[in-house]
Amino acid sequence: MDELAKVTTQLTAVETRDLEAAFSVHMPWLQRRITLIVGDPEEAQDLAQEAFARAVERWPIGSHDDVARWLAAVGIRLAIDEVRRRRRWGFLQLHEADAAWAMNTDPDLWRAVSGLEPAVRAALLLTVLDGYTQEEAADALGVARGTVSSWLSRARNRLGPLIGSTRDE
Amino acid sequence: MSDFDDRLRSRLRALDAAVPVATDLRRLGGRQTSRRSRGVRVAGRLPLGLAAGLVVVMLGAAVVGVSLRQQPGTEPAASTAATTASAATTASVPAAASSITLGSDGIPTQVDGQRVYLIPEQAEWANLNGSFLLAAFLPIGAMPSCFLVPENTGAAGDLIAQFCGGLALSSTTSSGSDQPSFIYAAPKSSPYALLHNGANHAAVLRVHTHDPEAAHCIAGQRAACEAAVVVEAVVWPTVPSEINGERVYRGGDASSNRLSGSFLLGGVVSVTPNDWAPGACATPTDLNAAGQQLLQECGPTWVGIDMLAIAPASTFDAADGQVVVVRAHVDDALAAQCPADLRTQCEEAIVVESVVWSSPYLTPRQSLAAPTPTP
Repeated sequence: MDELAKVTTQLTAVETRDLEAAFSVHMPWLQRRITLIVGDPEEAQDLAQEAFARAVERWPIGSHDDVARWLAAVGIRLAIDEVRRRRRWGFLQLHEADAAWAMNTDPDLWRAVSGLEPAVRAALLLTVLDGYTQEEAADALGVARGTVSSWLSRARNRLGPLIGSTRDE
Repeated sequence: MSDFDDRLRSRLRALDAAVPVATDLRRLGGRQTSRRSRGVRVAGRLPLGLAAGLVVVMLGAAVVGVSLRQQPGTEPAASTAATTASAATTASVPAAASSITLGSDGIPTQVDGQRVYLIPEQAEWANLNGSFLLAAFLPIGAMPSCFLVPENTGAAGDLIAQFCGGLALSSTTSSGSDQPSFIYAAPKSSPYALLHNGANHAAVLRVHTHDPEAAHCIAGQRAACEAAVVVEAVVWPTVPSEINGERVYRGGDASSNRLSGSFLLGGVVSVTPNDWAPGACATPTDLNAAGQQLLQECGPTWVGIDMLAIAPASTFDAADGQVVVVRAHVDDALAAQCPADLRTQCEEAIVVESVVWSSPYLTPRQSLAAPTPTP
């Protein structure tokens, strides 16, 4: 965290302290969330750092919840853009096949989730995993609520046979 | 929440918990970041997951090099609707550099009377005082990130941690066996988004070595820190930052701005043949006629400006290597006809209406025959 102090020389002492605290709190979950979209933990770390760097530019952002939602929105959008960018160059499947951490945990679910469009995947994670409403997810992703609803419907159709066939642990 | 959602959430939580997370994050990716409101330029970064050693077939090229200036106060959910200024075919834009001497390869040998060095001439430029000009092919994407180790933090991380977000610049000319064919620019180099997104096009960069921060490197790293090449700006070719008072957006703006309506987009044109490996292109299902007009998916060529895909419906005769500013729009009417699951992508598709500014230069792109940097 010593380098964080160096890059925040323009902030007040209070703002810097808050930024350090936010970094400690939000960075781990942001990495995890982005990893579930891009598949590669190292790439996710990169993207999470980018999201945080942008947060520093705008600091202070607001309350704890404001920061979390801001980071989620920017980080997930960066992740979606990255997946699309890789798709243009034909590397999508190569990267996602390397998600050993996921293949060792729940390979069936990971394969099914990986088959979703990145934005659809993001909408699913925000609503099912993070508890966002469809309106909140739409706002984070910069789309209409109806689009999120459509995406979720499609995601549930795709995942239905998988989720319905296995009991919870 | 339904039983289905409960079961799905339970399994997603298990995946979420299994994600390996870096626990020793010493810094924010090695960038120098300061408050924009205090007038300090931000060194932004667009991380890309492609290796710096990727080489693309040359078709003839142009490169965009403009310092990325971000606007303050941009929120992630805010739309930045550009004004509907008239699209003049000849814009009144002051030239960033008035005197260019081109070499036979289409790359400047002088800019405003200042010599442009080549990477293999390192023995001549390595100990120059102050800034100087250097020609290079820019990579198509950043090297993969890595977990920073303690000795690569601090000043060393800003200057020599090339394997953790570094930038590989390739020589624009053949090198002798004892001369470098590529160099790593320091991670603190800027403008990050443009440098890492150069699509293997050539650029002339203003750089310096012996960065003041080198004094903070530990003794064992001092020499490497002093030798580190820090990119300050891309001086050729350039794109205006605004035309007739209207902001010109760049590819690096797309990640943090939801553009809407009509806007000006500037950058390097890339026309690249697609050479899909078998099964590597993930074609979305049900791409109807509207989708084919708006989305480039698994086609024979890929066309973009600053690495942003341009819709096939665009009015744009793209030539690889052009440096242009175009009038474009998103939210095209055709998007309403796209399949529901592609609606958002269709709405975000960039449709070029006209070219409002064009650089007189085309810049070469690195060929397959050129040396390939390897980490």
